[in-house]
Amino acid sequence: MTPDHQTSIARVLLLFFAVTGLSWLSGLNFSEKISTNVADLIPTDERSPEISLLRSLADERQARVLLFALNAPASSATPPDAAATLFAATLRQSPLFTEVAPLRDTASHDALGRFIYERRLDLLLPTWLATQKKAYATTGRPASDYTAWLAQKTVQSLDAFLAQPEASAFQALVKSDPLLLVPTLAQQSQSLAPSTSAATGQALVWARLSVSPLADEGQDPVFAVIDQALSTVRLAHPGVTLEWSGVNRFAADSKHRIRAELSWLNTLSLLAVLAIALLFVRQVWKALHLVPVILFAILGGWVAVTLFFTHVHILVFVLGALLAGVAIDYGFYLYLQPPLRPGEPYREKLDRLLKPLLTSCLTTVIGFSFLLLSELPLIRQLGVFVSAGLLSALAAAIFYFAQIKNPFLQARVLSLPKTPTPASRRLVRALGLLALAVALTGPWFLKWHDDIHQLDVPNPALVTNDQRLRTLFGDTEGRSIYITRADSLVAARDRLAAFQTWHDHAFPGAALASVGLILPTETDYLAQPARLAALQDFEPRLRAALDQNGYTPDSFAPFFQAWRQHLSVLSTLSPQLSTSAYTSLGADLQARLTGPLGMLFFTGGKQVWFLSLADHPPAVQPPADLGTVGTDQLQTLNTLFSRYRASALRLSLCGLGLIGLSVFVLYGLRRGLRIFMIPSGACFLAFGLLGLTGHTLNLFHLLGAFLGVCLSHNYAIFSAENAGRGEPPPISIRLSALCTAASFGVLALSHIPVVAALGSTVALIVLTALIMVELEPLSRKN
Amino acid sequence: MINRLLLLGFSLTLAALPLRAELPPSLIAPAYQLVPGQNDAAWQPLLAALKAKSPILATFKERRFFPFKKNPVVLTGEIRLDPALGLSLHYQVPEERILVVDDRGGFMRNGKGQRLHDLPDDPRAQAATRALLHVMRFELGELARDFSVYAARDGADWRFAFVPLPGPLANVLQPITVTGQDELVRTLEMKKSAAERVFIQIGETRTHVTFNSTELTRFFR
Repeated sequence: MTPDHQTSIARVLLLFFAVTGLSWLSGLNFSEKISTNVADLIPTDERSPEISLLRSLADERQARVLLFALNAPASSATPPDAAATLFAATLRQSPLFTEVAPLRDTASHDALGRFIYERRLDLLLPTWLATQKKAYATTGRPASDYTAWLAQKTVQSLDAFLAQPEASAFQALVKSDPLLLVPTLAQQSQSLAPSTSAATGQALVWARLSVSPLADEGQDPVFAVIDQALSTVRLAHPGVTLEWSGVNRFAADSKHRIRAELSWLNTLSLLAVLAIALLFVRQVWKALHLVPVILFAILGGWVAVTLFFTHVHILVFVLGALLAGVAIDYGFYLYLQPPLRPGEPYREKLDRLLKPLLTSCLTTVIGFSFLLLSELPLIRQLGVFVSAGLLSALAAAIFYFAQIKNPFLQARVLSLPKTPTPASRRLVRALGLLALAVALTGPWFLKWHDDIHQLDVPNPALVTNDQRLRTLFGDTEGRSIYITRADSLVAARDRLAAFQTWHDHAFPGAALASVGLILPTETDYLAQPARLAALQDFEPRLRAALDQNGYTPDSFAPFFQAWRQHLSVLSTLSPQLSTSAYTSLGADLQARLTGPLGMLFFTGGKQVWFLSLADHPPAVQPPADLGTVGTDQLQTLNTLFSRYRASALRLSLCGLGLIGLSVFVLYGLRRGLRIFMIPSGACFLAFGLLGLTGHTLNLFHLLGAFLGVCLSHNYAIFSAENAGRGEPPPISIRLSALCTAASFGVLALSHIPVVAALGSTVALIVLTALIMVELEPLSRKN
Repeated sequence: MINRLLLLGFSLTLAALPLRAELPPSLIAPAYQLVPGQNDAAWQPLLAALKAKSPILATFKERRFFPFKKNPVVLTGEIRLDPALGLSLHYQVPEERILVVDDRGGFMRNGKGQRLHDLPDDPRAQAATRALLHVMRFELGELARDFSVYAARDGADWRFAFVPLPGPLANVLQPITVTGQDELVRTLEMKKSAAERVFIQIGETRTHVTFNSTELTRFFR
């Protein structure tokens, strides 16, 4: 093949790759393809039921809630209720909002109260009957005494209730409800009632979006509607100010911050690499020939990751910036190698360098390919991105330098001693012993902790604002929120009953409230006719018991009338009582739960959800078979990430094992051991230093270590090639390592903790490996 | 976010069902109506004395008359009133409970001092709670916003009646009658009808008391 022919083919291939890749990328809808949702870092088929439940909840309703507090002007002491009403009415006009409710508007609460009162015997009596039956069973008395016992117990409960200070609030109900069905329910709920008393000068508005807060339409368009609504309010109520919080604010802020991070990290990284090049390269402009190699690597990574994955998390591209540091290795190695003789053809030069190039690239690709087996989408995506990027970088380097006239970049040689002396040997060996001590002892001091918050750019102002809004809305510490979910209403209510039983045992004396408890279980609902049939003489017995205990039985005429009517309706409907009637009762209740109340019991994604509040701080989680989890699940997510770290560690070790094996096969035991010692030694030394300096590591330190080992593995191979010919390590290693350390060192400055973790680890390992490569020849005997 | 206020609203709804108040006879007549700034000059010394009370501690006996019960339910305990901290009713018999009402609302504690629950957060209930506090503090200006005020006196004995103005408050609060002698309150009555009322008799009263830190923690917010 003539040089001209070779140049043409190389250019055609490079052009083809560039056009194909850019065409593919230009056809993508990036707003759909690239996700900033932290939930997308968790696998959709995550095996932990609580995580899939929380993912669904976040997608369904919870994340769509926005909280608003309107503040009165400084001159006014009363909350701006009229302004809140106007603000809510304005928001309602936008299709972006499904529900908007000023909290002082009690219409929905009143409607629910009326419904429960009117349907109290349908809703609450079945559970009351079941509870009484269970209590009677513990007495061991004969069934024939049941009605008399129940009448007497009802009056005793009434006596105890009326002796409570708070009973007077319910006295108007007692005549129609001596069984205390409604007052008991109200008291159970009251015991958990929070206070919005913190909102002394504010009027509060609760709203729910019709669009996802994580999608673009749930962010800027919503912000515009809110701004417009506030402007409208200020026309009528000058001086009113607004505070608000919602997931969309966090999501939008996070997106902007990550984009800003991308921008300045890449710029600084480029400047750092340029500075290194200025230091080591004589003709800096010639170093521009390395830029296409990096660009092709990034193009290959983008194309592959967008081709293989439906959604790609934006962190992949932040972390992917590191690809530049790796990709440049092959360019440096090819470009900085001097020709063996003047006029050496490129093909000859490539032939002698191809083995180390292929070995380093393919073994690294194999290592990163193991990340495809990870459970964590981010790690899988990173594996594809880096693997494809490295292959593209190697191919681009080979073809790019094939089509330029003189593919040799002369570097400045730093004057290190070329031959070892006894002093240098002693120094290097002492340093080696010290490094060995650090590498062997330091890792034992390592502390590991994974926190999902480290995946995001923290914004303290937004967090503080959110906490303030939650406090105004009565969200206080010291209480637990549980979510119960099942595929049907019947199953969800059964799970709630099972959870209630578990909760009563796990937290004795701690109140548990749930709108779901208004509804009986289907079993109790269907058992009602039979249980009432056994209470045919309940009315006369209750009348007698009331009279004996100082009550006027006729005062309870409204109750006895409702009781007889209920028995009559049940006797008519009894054969038709079925699951559908039960489901219909549930639907009737659900229809009354509008506005914020709708968050307590809702149907979504073919699932039925109940929320329960418990009067104790978050503690032990319910067993998995109850289908109920606490919402303090960030800790669980942290645990989940620890599990992913263990998984990533296994995969990394497997990958490294394979890399080591391939090196032993290709270079034999002795040279292979020397090659393998450098990356593994650098890794242990880096972990040793981190351990001794008290750093707490996470999953991304581990990923950084894996990447660092792959990079230093390249240096070990390239230096081994030279050592085999009795030459010092190639200058390309020094340049490459320093460029990589500089670009990853820049990542260490990131505000995203995991990016900083990854950057600092890689930089540390690469620098350590460089020092080992440079000093190792000085420890040898002449 | 999960709004815990929901359960509150729900519970309040149930608590807010009592019926509209009826006006009691006697004192409630135009001749006895007191309009701040118009005809209250003669009452100002007494009102000032009542309003400027130092912290007090008194015993009380509360009789609750229910239309469905032949005899009233009797509760006894101690009442603490602090001009700054609010009102605290310490029920001792038949069950120990502490009801605290202050500018931020109200809440209930059990005998061990554990906070059981806040009073309903509904604006109507909050208005009722605030009104009760204003009555105990004799803040006539504040009371006139929500109540028609009636008053009569005979020597050292006096009597006030506070009738909720028509509106949401009248649905949850009944007319309140307060009687007393000199600067001391003797009785309070919240009356819907003869068969449905709460009558509180104030017993031995100590004024200018100082609540120690334990009492402040236990009986106030």
